[in-house]
Amino acid sequence: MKLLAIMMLIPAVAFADEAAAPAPEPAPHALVVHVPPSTSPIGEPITLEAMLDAPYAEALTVTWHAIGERAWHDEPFERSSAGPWYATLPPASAPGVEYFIHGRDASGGDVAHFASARAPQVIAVEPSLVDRLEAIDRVRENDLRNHVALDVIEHDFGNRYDLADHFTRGELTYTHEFWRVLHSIGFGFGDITGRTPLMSAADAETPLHASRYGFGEIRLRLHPSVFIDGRAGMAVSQNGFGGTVRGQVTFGKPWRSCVQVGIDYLSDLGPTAWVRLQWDTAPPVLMGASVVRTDLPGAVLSRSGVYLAYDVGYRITPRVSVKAQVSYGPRDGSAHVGGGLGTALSF
Amino acid sequence: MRTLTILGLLLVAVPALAEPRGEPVVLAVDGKDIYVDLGAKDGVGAGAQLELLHEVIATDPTTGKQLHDRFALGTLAVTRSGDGASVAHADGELAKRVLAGDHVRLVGDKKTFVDPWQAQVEASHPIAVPANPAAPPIDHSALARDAWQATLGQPPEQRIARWQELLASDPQTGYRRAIETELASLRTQIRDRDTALARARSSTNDRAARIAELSYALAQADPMVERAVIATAPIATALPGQPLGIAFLVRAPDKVGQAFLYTRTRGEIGFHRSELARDGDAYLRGRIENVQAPAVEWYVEVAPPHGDARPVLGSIAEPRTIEVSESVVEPPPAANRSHIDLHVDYVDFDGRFSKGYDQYYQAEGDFMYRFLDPIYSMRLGFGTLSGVGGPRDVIDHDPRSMCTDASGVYQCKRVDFSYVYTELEFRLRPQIAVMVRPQLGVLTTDSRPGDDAKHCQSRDTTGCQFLTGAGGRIRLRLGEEQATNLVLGASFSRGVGTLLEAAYHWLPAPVVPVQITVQVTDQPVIEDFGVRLVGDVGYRKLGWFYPSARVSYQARGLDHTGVSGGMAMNFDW
Repeated sequence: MKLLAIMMLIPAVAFADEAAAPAPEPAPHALVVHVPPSTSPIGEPITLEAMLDAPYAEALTVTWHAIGERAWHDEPFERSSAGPWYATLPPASAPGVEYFIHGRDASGGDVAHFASARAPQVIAVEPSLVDRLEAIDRVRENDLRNHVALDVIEHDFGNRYDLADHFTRGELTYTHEFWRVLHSIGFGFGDITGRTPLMSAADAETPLHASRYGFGEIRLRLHPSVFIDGRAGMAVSQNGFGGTVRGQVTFGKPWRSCVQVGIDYLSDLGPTAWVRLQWDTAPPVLMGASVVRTDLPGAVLSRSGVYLAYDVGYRITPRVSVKAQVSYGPRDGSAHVGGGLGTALSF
Repeated sequence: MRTLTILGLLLVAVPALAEPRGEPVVLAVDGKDIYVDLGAKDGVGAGAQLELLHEVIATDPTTGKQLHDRFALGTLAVTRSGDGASVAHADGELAKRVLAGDHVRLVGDKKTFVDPWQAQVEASHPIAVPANPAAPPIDHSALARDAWQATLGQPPEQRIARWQELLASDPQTGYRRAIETELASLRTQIRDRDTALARARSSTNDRAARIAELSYALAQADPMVERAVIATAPIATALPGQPLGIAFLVRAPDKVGQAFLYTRTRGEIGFHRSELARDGDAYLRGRIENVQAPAVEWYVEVAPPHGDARPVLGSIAEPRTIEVSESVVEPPPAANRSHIDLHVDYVDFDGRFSKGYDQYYQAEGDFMYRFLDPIYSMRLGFGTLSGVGGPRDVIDHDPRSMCTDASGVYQCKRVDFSYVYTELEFRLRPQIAVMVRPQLGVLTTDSRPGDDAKHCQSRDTTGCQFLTGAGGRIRLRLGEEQATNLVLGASFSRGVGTLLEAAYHWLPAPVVPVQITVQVTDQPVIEDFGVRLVGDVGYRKLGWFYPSARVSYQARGLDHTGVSGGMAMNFDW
């Protein structure tokens, strides 16, 4: 009897539309019950678990797309051996996905079960901290990851005997930024040339001291507001082959208000240490003041070479920036002035 | 009855499946009968073997990826088939594990089958009824066959009409019993179909019961689902500044009239209320607009159709929490955080200006930025102090005014001190700050008589001393940094001297900053202490710059006094 019934019924249903009553009743509908998620971990598939009533009354679909994407994708519900129905969306990426659940009934009508294309449910996917920081860096730098910078500074310490005590330092640096924990890498070439008395005496010699050096450097972002710079390289000086190392810690962001503490050592030319305060309170100008204690260019007559440098940076266009510096400080005698110029090209 | 209910559901199902057909599945399970949506059209008939597939969600432990995997649970034997559906049986253990929705797959090749109902009709043997010998013979079989053909593809109502028409036109048909049985079956199917349809179009109350039933089943399958009137998925963290959509499954719709979402940022006094909107089959949706660190606290109150609202998820006393990640968005540059101060101060203790022996000037360039936290501010600066000083008695009592003592020995000293410094300010309390400043510089002293300030920068450095001038300063400020405050400070510089000071700063008018300072110092050389009274008045016409001028009176004794002054330029950004 059951067999006969089902056999009679199936063809009958196939022509149900033609046999519709004069006042057709609404088509039967399914019910979809699930607990809508609002967030999801990044990189993990999003599984929607649902219980369905009259699931074959409609062709049920989870329609979804990544936030920002125009096209929608359909994902059918699948039944598991455990009982509920599942629809699994692909591994999510930030900022998230939007979805709604709907079905198509026997009459071809679209039936909304949860949310809609106009008001989809958002599943927010929180990007990792590094991803969030990278997104900000990308906007700030107009997606320009490469920079070539040329900086030249000169400082004249003066001398009580009017002897030459000065140096000029120029560096050409290429930097590629990743904006991740490894924030950037770079390499470059530098030159320091100067003279400094061999002793504090009126007739002291002031031989030429110089170094040509090449270096590689990295910048690590250990915290949103803590950066570590490291540099190592090789150099040749008036005394022969040597090396150079440099380290700097930045508290704050190097492109915003921050404090930088660093040390630099060049073989045969001596160490340099500095504390730099930078502030961004007068945009678009970036200002900084540094207290620098240095033995450049290989001074031996005194460990008291210090100067205060005041610098101003200005980004002319997103690709071109310039900066200028004035400095004032003594080593052996009264303070004298110095200065510097720099430019950077981003691409 | 149960079978008919299943058939009612199938009635609903088949049109949906008549569209581009997906993979074949088990349509229903009724006792030993397993209905599948494969039939003669699919090459399936009695004797065919179907493989029953179950699905499992598996996670690869090495990649964490999930996939839906199917596995064969056993084989079903088809016992009867229609055009698009079949009835199959399974062995005892397997039969217990079959669920509607399970996938099936034909084992072996497709075969051609004929419609068994039609075959049954063809094969039936009607009882011959004697007829009027004069009348032409009636071919009952042909009439029944025609009627059967006419019913194929028709809804049950039209089938009934066609069979009734046959009974009326051929009352002597030998198929009457079979036709009446078929009519009863069709009527039962119509009734069950209508019941199923009515249930699918059911009233609110019935829907509520169905939703409650489904919600209960969902909670049984997933213990993480909450058992309250409404349920939502857990939200671990949220991003600051990004509104968060939140949706709730209404597990008991008949108990929910209105629902309200209450939210606040942790630390706020009150909650913000918004009504949740109904959505879809059984949902409430809302939005948390203000998502700010450190956390959002929320709870939901539900009011039944005729009752007062009461909390169902969290409460005002124990709200639920969504941790909000720390913002990494860079705020615009903060105003009034930096200050540059360039000032020069000329100090004349003996009132003789350049002809005296107790004068000095001090100039400083000071760059300051207020971080506020954890260090309130930091200063970097450069200073120069240059002058001459000596014992007050010698200076005052030398009749030649050459700073020589009774034996004619020159007792004064010229100093030239250039230094750099950094200063950190710590806020102990909102109105108590401590500032610590180490400094380092180059100190040159010249004890040779004469007024040549550059003597030690010549080749003859007789009487010159060249030292590294280390020193420091510590200050305590009471009050507001940029308004009324009192600063108490002490500083010392090697070879230059000590300075103790108390400075009172206030704004008698918003554009007129005033500072009165009292200093006790033995600068510029370490000799007799004197006292200074300094008045400094500024005029802040522009927001970012103001100049100030200062006048000072200083004395190391009643007859060792002088008046002098200075100026400053202040930049605030």
